[in-house]
Amino acid sequence: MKNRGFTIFNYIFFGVLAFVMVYPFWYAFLSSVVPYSDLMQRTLPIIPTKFDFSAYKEILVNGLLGDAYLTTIKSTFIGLALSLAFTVSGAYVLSIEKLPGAKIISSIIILTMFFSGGLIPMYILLSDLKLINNFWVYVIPSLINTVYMFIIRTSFTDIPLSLREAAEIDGASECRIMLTIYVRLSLPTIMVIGLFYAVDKWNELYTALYFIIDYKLYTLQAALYNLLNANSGTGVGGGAIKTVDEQVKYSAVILTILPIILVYPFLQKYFTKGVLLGSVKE
Amino acid sequence: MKKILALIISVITALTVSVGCANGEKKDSVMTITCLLNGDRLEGENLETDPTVEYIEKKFNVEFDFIFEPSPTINEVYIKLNMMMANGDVPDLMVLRADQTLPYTCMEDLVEAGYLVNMKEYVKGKESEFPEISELVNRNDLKTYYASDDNLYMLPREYVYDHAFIYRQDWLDELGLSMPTNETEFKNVLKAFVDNDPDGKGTTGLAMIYGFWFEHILAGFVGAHRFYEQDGELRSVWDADGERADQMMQGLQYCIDLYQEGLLYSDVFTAMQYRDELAMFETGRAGVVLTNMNVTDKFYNNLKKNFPDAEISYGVWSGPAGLARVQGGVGYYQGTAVNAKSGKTDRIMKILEYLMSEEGEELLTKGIEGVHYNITDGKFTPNLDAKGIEYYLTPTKHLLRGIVGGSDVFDEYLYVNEWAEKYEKFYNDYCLNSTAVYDMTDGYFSRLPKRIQAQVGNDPEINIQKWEGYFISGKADGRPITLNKDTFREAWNDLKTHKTDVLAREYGKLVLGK
Repeated sequence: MKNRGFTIFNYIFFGVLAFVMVYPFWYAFLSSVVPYSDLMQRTLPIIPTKFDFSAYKEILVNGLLGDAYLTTIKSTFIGLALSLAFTVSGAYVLSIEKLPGAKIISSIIILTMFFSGGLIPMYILLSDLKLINNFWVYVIPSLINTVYMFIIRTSFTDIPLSLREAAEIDGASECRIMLTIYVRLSLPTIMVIGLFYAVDKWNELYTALYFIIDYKLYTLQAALYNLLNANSGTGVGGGAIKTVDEQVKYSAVILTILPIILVYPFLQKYFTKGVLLGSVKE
Repeated sequence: MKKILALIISVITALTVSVGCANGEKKDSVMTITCLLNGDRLEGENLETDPTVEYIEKKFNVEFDFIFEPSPTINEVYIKLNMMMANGDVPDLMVLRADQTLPYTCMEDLVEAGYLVNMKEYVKGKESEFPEISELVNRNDLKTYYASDDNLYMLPREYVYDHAFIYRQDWLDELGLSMPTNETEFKNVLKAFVDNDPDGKGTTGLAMIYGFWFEHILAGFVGAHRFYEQDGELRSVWDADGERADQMMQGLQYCIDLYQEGLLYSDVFTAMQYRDELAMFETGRAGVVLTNMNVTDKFYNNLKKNFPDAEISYGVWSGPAGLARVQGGVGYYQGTAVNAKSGKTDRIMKILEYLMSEEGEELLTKGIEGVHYNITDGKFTPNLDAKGIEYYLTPTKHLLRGIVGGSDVFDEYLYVNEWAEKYEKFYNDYCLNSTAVYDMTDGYFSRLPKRIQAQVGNDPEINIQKWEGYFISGKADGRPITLNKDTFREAWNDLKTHKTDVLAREYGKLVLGK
């Protein structure tokens, strides 16, 4: 009886929790597809009876997010691939016990997790590297996330040393050992980190706002930020010169989050495995 | 595994090549002028290829490189400018603000580093070459724009408030009502709208947002805010013991009544500007909206879509103390500064002088003859198919008007909208030639030296609005509150803890020389 009560409580509690989390997305979707007159009413129906996709059409026909989509897709793919390559390589090297000065190197890297140079030194550095207003500013400065690197390193150190020794006896190179043993056995962790990287890159905002000048190089989030603030009235004209309909804003929000939402379920299985990895010692 | 690796490498290579191609630099022999404009990019999305911009570029053999920084609070603009300054990468032309701590500090830093052209010094002895700029910088009402070294480093933008009560004229006609002229009639109109609900949508009467906008209504009861001397000390006229405290209480009581009687939008305290109040109006749930007239562009078409017979009109009423309308003026918030170290100063100053001249003003308000409009037999005909005409069809006109000293709001409008005639009349009668009072926030507080604003907090006026909100909503920090002399005094004393008295003292020094 106790268990039944607890189960019912769980259903209700998690049902409400799920509703609270899903409803904002549903509301945004609803707002993007209902006719304007319905959107402007005090309340929206949970299930729309009439649909109007003109806002999506406006975004797609006018190319409001076109360049931003391209930039974000490029930065996500290139950034993800290079970040994973560098992060895994770094983690592998640090996981080697016999590496001379491993602790010192780790400490130096850990230090960067607690202290940063700040925005202005960062700007000056990126300027010296000719990365201001350059696409590669989305990729190079964020090549390695130290937290992610240490997570992968921890995963690598859990792999029995005997596997490595056997490969060495068989004459395998370091690169081969890394790819065929360490990467393969830690694939769930790497996939999860990959997902984190992809989400980070997809959600890139401030790099675009602070280090990019050309609007064509804006990321999706920065373009969305621009769109959402279009009516703020802080502009050079001193008023709301160009206003953007609410439907267009909601549609842009949906178009921005849609790809990452679509990708998520396919990586879910790795995510579960990655989280569970190392949690049970048998 | 090998196949996957090969695929990844191929994708990266392909994307890298395409990125490399996209980043190819443009070679040009003309002078490039980088121009930092605060505002969202949508405002200027077609600016690079705009015929007016191209005309100016050709005339002065320059190429503008516009930098926009989207920012709801404008902070990002000045964070970026700070970084650019630290890197020695300051734009050649920039719109600066002097009304908030971060932008002001940024301006002071630019001055200290010698980045800004001293406007008065620059035009000294060149009055014939720069007549417009000379006239502007030598005006004596620009104190807020001066840096702490008492020099003027930017060309102030004059700003005219285009705020109005916008009515559903068809409702007035249907109910046999005329445009209200005083506070009693205004309340009666709202009541008639609510009781009769002409569109059957459950109207609320007046839609507006909280904050500054209540100053319009209060101005009808209190008039201009000012400080006065009592026992050797400057006090606000709105002080609980001040000379207009009773009128202030009367004005607050009027707002309280509107709110409690359901004549005022119930979500006024949480409404978002240009969204919620306009949504109320265009869907027939409010008969009056208090907002900028220049957003008529936004709501009018939707209003007509929802109610084809709908008509609008602009109005203002008078209270016991005068017009229910406050007016901004020079000193509002922005100015244009020129980089003194760019080596392009002379050319940029010539461009600014041109844009401020009669010819430049015509260009930025009407466009290019033969492109944006034609004159046949003395008749002005806009070319609605012209590229870039969209800027001229807005009340604010061409975006570049924002960088020169002229008023940045409507003064000559292309008559393509059916409401434009009413708009122009109201604009001329009440905005350009206004007898309305200057509001306290722009007329006084923003004119104080910014080092003082930095002392008392970024937005002293917000404290005053909070105080008004206590009474109108009937809640002070969650506790119920009613308006009477004691609570009024208590709330004002609470404000003093926000250093309003410091503002009074500094205002006295600045404006009254005390």
